[in-house]
Amino acid sequence: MRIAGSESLNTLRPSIQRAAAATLLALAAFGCSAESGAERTLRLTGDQESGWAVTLTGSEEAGELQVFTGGSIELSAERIAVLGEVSQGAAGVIWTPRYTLRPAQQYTAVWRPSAGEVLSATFTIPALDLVASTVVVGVYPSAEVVPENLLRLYIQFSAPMSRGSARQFVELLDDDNEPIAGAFVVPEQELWSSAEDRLTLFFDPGRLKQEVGPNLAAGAPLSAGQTVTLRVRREWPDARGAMLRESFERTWRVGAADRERPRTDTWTVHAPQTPAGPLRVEFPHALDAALLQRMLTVETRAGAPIEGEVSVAAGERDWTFRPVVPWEPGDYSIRVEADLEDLAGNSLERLFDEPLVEEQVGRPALGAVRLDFTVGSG
Amino acid sequence: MNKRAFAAFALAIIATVAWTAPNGATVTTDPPLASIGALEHAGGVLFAGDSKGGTVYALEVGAGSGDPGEFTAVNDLDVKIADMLGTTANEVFIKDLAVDQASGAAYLSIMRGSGAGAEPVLMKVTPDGELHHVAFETLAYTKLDLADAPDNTPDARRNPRNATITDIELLGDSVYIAGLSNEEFASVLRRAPWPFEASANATGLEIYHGAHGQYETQAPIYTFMPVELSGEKHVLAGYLCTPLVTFSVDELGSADKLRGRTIAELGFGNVPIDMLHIEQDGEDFVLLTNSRRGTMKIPMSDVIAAQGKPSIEERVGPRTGVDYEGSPLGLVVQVDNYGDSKILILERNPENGTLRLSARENRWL
Repeated sequence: MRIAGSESLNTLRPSIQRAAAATLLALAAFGCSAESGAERTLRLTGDQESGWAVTLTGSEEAGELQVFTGGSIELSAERIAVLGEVSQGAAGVIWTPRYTLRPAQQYTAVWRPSAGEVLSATFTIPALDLVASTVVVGVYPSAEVVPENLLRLYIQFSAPMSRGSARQFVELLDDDNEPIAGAFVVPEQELWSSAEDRLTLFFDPGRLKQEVGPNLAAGAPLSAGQTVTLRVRREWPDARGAMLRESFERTWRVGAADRERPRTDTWTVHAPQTPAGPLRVEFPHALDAALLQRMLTVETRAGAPIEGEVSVAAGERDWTFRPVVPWEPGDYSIRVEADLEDLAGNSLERLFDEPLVEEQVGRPALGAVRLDFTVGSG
Repeated sequence: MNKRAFAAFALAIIATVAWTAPNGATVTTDPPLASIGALEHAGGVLFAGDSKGGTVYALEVGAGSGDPGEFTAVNDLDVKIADMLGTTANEVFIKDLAVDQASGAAYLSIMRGSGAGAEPVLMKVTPDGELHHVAFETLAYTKLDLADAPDNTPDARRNPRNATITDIELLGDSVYIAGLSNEEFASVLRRAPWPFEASANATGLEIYHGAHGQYETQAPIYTFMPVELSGEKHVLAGYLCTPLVTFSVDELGSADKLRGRTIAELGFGNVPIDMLHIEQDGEDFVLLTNSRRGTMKIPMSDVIAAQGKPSIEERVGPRTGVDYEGSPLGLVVQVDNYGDSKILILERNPENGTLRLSARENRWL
């Protein structure tokens, strides 16, 4: 179905024509602020918080008020007006932008009455007073040794970051401090957490998968015995546009490839010893830091969820759960999702690159695994 | 804030906006997009992926009629958009391009800025070369919530992973959505019935692909397109780094797991961006644009012939399976079909680095 008026609020051609006419007059009359004795002024009003606007005072007549991106001398016939809306306010005629005006950006307002001289003024939106305060607070895996077929890294920042420039500001260095070219695959969208403060970097999966073309041609990005360093440059802008407070480096040793699925029967469950005590699980091999936050959950034996706080430590080999409400004596389970992966992307259900067996596709999903424990009354 | 003032203005224009759709549902306007990326235009509906909001919106933008005529090229498109949005060209991120094949209007999904204040913007370039801003508040929409999609296992809890939507296609009465998770690496292609119902949900499909000889793996599907192979509906999918895989839509049926057929590997360090079906001198080709390996042209006859062969099994170099030739295109940012005999290309001008949107005859590709 079509909606009348769903079209644009602004089109290119009329704006260009208007801009061209306005420019010629504006250049001729730049600086002029009076006509027939009435004091007419164009002012930048508002603030960063509530939004900027341009107000024309001293005129009852709305005329045509337009704003262009850039200083007046940049105005040319090619210029398109900034999307905005003109209304009559108590203070005068007000131009309100469709999108927030940018800090430190110059704009030129042009007012053209139905008759008489054109008025124009150039404004610079005040720059934000930015303090470089954002830092890298952690990088995962946090263990000192990573497998040769490591699938991904997470970089956790203290505050939201900007998107789209990760490739420029993060690199992986080899033993000789030389960048390892093409180690990561950074899709254009970049993989950020919903809070935009954690970046996921995937190693090139084609080079990790055994025996596929890229793996045969270029080898795996990492090799056992090597030392690699992740470097995050200080110039990386955070979400506000400020650079980081400091650069960051983190070094790992590369160990043997991990080609085994995590097995819950190798885990050690430490049941809570007191009503407010923690539930702990130890793993013989490190698991994925992000997935551990949500793929292990606690429930009663009947399946009712228990709320609590999860923390992961010891190089992602130790998972601790503290209940919000003290434990009632009774039988509980830890529910482990089959999609839980280790550092190399092997899940409970399947290896990252699984030996090809015809029956495997279509086999029933493993589903969740339950690890039972009991909280005693004493 | 400004947006709100504008919404009031726009709503005044279209008067009362709540009306009743033929199926009895109340039509809602002003989709609350948190971001905008992948686009697909079909039958007057523009599907828009909101990765940040974990939602696919079906925006009622309408469709033209007839065939698109000549397309007037637009130079410095990013600069013009920046002027209109009150910003600079380096703060204008054009995420996708989708053409209304009837009117020739080219929709552009844009993010204005990249930080905390980044805003989604929808623009339209009509064949006369005019640039139009499309205000969200005027658009009626339905939506598909991906954040609430069930996990791969039927009894799993809700899955809060953050999936970046990389491609959307309407195939028959289903919408398919490809995405990258920021945590799991598994390949989940999502499918939902179209039109979206009130509480639309997507189900996950696991598409495995064989690697040479002895392994099979999952990886994210980045871009895909429908193809007809031996009279059956298939999907041709470009995976991250970069196998090309086909699988049968019919075979999917109610299954949620399927092994696709790996028909080619196109080299490492590369992300396939977009796939188009084009016709050139009566012959069908797949045009594939890539992040690092230029634009490839693959004869459809080879894709069809690959169906009769086993999946790639030999251990050979980085370029394996169905072969391709390079297409003489420059720094392609986005592409879509423009009628039957042309494509629309958004490309970077090597002289000054600005973006140009123009039509190109298929026969020159």
